[in-house]
Amino acid sequence: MSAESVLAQERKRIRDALKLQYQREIYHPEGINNTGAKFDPAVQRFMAMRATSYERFKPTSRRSLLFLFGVYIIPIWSVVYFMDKRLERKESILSSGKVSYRDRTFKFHT
Amino acid sequence: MYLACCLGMMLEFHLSWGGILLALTSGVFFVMVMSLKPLRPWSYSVVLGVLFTLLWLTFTTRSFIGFYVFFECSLIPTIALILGWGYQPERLPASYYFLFYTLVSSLPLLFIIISYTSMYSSSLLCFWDGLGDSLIFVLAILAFLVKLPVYFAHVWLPKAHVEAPVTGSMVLAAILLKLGGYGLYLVQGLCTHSETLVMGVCMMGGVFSCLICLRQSDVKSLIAYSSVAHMSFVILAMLMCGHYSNASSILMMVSHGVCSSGLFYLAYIFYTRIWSRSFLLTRSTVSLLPYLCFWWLGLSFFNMGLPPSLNFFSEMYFFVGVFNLDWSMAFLTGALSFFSSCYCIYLYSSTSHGESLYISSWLEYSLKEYLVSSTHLIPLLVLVLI
Repeated sequence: MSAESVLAQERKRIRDALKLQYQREIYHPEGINNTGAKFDPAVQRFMAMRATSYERFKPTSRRSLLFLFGVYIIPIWSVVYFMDKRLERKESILSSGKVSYRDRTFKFHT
Repeated sequence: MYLACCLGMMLEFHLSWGGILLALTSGVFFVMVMSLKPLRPWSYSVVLGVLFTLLWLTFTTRSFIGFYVFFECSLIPTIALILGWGYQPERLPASYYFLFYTLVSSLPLLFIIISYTSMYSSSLLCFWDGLGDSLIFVLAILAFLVKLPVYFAHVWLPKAHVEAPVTGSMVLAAILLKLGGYGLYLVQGLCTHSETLVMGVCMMGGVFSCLICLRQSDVKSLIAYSSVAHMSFVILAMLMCGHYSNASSILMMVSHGVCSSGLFYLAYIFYTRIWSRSFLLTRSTVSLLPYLCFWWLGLSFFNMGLPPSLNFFSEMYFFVGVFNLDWSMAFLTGALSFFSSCYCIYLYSSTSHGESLYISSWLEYSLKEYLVSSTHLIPLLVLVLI
């Protein structure tokens, strides 16, 4: 038998054992007072990991700087710069009286 | 409600906004009392009563110093709720985050209030002649931005919301975030120019919050992050300082308050059946509790602005305000609206559908759960008609 088939059989054996254990626990006749989903320690560990991710976060210098600039600083700065230019241009047009009364914004608004 | 807002704007700003938020506070506390367990300790009722009184005083006071004092005092019963009746040991750091974020961010506001009160000899904002510098304005609104919260200062919110008990989450989402919105509204008239930096942070921050929602594995955490995204709408609308955007912000605050409170309550109902908040385990609930999933569907979809809910009209007014300011901003705000719809659909489809899970036994629906759920959903449809 090849090494791959031996491993596949071993994985199947573990899977079948876990399945049998799960079915024995959920169909146990004395488990009538159990409520909710069956407690799974793997799910609990996963949830605990997600809940405590802030405390275990370890930034690396290069990736953190890349993330900081690429995701936060540059996009936000670009949006703010673009908005500033647009609003300044609009403000200068409005304050210099270049917009006629006919073209005023929200002329249908009471 | 929009007519009420307009009338208030023409006559007396403070009273109409405060009155609407007061009505929201009263409604949410009524629903919270309905949802309480019959055998609860008297101290729980006392804490809720104190919180209700402080919120009532916050929305009715005319003095800005009084508003600040009650704004800070509302921290105490909220922390008592989180620490005293939260479920997990993580409630300790959650309460620290909540306390220190609010306290530190409100210190500049305290200094500004003291100096401007002595300068103008009055704590009434109508006598203040603007906050002058852009930096001073940002420092003044920092407390409200953290309370709402704005992205980058939002870290306390998912912690506090998730670790609080169900009534604590309901009051946090429905009312306490709106304290920041009300404060921002009060100070809005003192703004002398567009705060494009804060607006840019809100726009991008809202999109980031929506994307973070799609990565959540905890139902309550997703609803908490969705509050960050919705409050980005509110901050943007307030800073635009237009009629439609102001109307949009108050409508959004009311609709989000009712919606989020309902979603937290429904998440609690599922938690009492499945004993987990994980998306891995909270699935296929439509086969478990089909009638309750109807309320879940309604609230999730109204949360994303499905017509004819109040949320839809708030978003429509918001986009009218955006186009009034500059049409180019509609792309990013449209993306914000789109991603908020994405996480709402993700929330509903992940919890209600999917591969069915074995549940040993579960409680059937109770009349109380129906009443509380319907009390959250029906106002979102009825208030549109006012």
